[in-house]
Amino acid sequence: MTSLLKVEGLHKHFPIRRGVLRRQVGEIRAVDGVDLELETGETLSLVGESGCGKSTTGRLLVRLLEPTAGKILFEGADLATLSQRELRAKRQAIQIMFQDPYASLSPRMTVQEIVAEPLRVQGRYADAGADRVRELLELVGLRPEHSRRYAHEFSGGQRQRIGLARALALNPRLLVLDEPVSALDVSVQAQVINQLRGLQDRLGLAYVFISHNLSVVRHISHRVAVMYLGSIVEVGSRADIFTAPTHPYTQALLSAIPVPDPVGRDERDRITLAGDVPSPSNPPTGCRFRTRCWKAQDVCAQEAPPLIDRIGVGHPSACHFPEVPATVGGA
Amino acid sequence: MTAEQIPGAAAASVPGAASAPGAAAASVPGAAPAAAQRVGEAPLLRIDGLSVDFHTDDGVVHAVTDVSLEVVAGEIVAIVGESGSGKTVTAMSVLRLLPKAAEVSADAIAFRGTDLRTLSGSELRKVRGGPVGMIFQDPMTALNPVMTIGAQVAEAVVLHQARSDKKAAWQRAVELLRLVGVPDPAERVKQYPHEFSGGMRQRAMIAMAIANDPDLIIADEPTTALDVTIQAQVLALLKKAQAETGAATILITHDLGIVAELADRVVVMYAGRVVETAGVGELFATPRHPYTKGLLASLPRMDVDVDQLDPIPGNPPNMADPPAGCAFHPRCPLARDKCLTDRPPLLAIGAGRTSACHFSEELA
Repeated sequence: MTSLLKVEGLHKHFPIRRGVLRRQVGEIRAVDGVDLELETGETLSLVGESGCGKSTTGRLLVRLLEPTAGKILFEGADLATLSQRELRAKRQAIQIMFQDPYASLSPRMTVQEIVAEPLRVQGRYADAGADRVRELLELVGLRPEHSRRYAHEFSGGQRQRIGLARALALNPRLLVLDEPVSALDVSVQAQVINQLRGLQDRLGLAYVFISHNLSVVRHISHRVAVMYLGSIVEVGSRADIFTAPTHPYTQALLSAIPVPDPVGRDERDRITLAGDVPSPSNPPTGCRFRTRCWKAQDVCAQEAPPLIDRIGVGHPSACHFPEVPATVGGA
Repeated sequence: MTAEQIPGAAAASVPGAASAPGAAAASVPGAAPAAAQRVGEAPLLRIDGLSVDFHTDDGVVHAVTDVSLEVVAGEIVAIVGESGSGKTVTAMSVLRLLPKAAEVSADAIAFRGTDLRTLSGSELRKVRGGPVGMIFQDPMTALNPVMTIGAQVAEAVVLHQARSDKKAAWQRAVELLRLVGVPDPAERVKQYPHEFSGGMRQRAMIAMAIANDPDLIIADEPTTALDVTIQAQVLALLKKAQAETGAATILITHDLGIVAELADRVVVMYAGRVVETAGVGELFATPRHPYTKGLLASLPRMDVDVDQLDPIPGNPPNMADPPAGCAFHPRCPLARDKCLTDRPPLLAIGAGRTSACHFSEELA
């Protein structure tokens, strides 16, 4: 059976240019060999810190960026090699929703125009488009009479709903959600998360959910891929990643999250990583995490560990010395 | 006002309840036994009846209304709330760091017994960065891009010395940066802010804040701009700096996880007012305001499994046109007729706790 989405060996390298001749003096390996697979109706989260390549990966998936190398197979067809015309047709099935509810909606268009735009672009508006817009607004919990207003008249949470209605206009099968709730207040964030889950159940959508917020990821995901400096260091089911993480980076990331419960706060074991994420223009040799890793040995500097299941825990991790910790976080 | 009525008012952590003068006098003393160990100790900082208005094109925005709070020596008080709740404006008004358009009124903003509002500009500058250190959210805009890190930290030292000794100040800058965990500080003092990562810049900010052995540190969302592993480093550092200097800390944050990790006492703000105060343990165990309760329920957690999050319905109020009665009533599951018309005063609801809800008893 073909997966809804299959990504193989995805790379995106941005050139660094200097001087009047804009000569290339180096490159930033934002995404450096990523493999992913996603089934219909499933949520796969990409998590990691800023600069790990998660948003770049998301943009590559909808081909807002051209990959340097690699394949993106959507329902078996390679998006990277499709012609513009074929791509346009396929793209209806893959939509993206952005992080910033203030920057991602045109201030000069009404809600009606914003949500109708994808339909117009695909030449589908004439055919009952106005009804479709009304239906979409109701689907995301906005009132149809809001459609004559402009984006600035809405709160952050409502704007994210407008962005969601726009993303759903063409009946996509895959939605790339790039930090969809990061800009929202906690009380409103929960509304949008519940809505995303409800829509997935009703419409059978698959989500690629990009986020740095692991509490949200744990709540919404079926599977999780942890990224560090352009590659995936560990991938598995939600339970694999949150209860049996074997990569030291995943473990450190989980233990760094403040727990909203003051009981026992002084007894918690914390892994505090030293230092910062190295520059992706000059990544460490071998394992990229080794400069911050407490387990690093000589071999880590020489050989990049492949993403495999070395110790038979049922999910792969890119570490020479993977280990299931005694206790990490909750179930 | 209220504080004078209660000797050693540090006990009632929020002396205020100022919105209902009559009720306050009757109820706040009830809170006294809770912090018996603090009775008699004058608060380090006392804000009483603080209101801040902004005049905008949309009319007057009451960013902060009638906020009273106290901080005693050595404690960490978290002010928590969502965007627009007035938490930052409250803290900034202490050191007069608000834009000119802000109209500030208060019964008292007293630091170590001195009303800061009576100080001249130059006197206040001696307080800023001296006995009161500040840490801002965005270390890139808070640091001067054309001065080296060392020069900025040394400046913070020199400004508060009686006799300026630049060489000693530079040495002290190196020492401070070492203290906050900047690697190779003797070299890195010569670098500019853009050569520092976000986490390192925030460390430099903390170095400046603790440079003159402050009694109070005001930290405004100190880790919001940072990645989670860097946030963990900076929080650990803040904890260490606080423990070593013994400075009281006002921690402004929207992150309940950070509150639970660091705070001793919590002040919850909504729509420019304090709606609940409590010790950190009590607040998380038994929130006594429906807003606090709603916030906790809407939080996806690492340690608890829920099928559906339980969000607070609706949106935070438009501060240019806040709801009548209790500002939270349009989103509140407990709201009744009374809430639409009568604003609930902030009342003591037991030992060291206050809540501004007509029905806080129902949450007990």
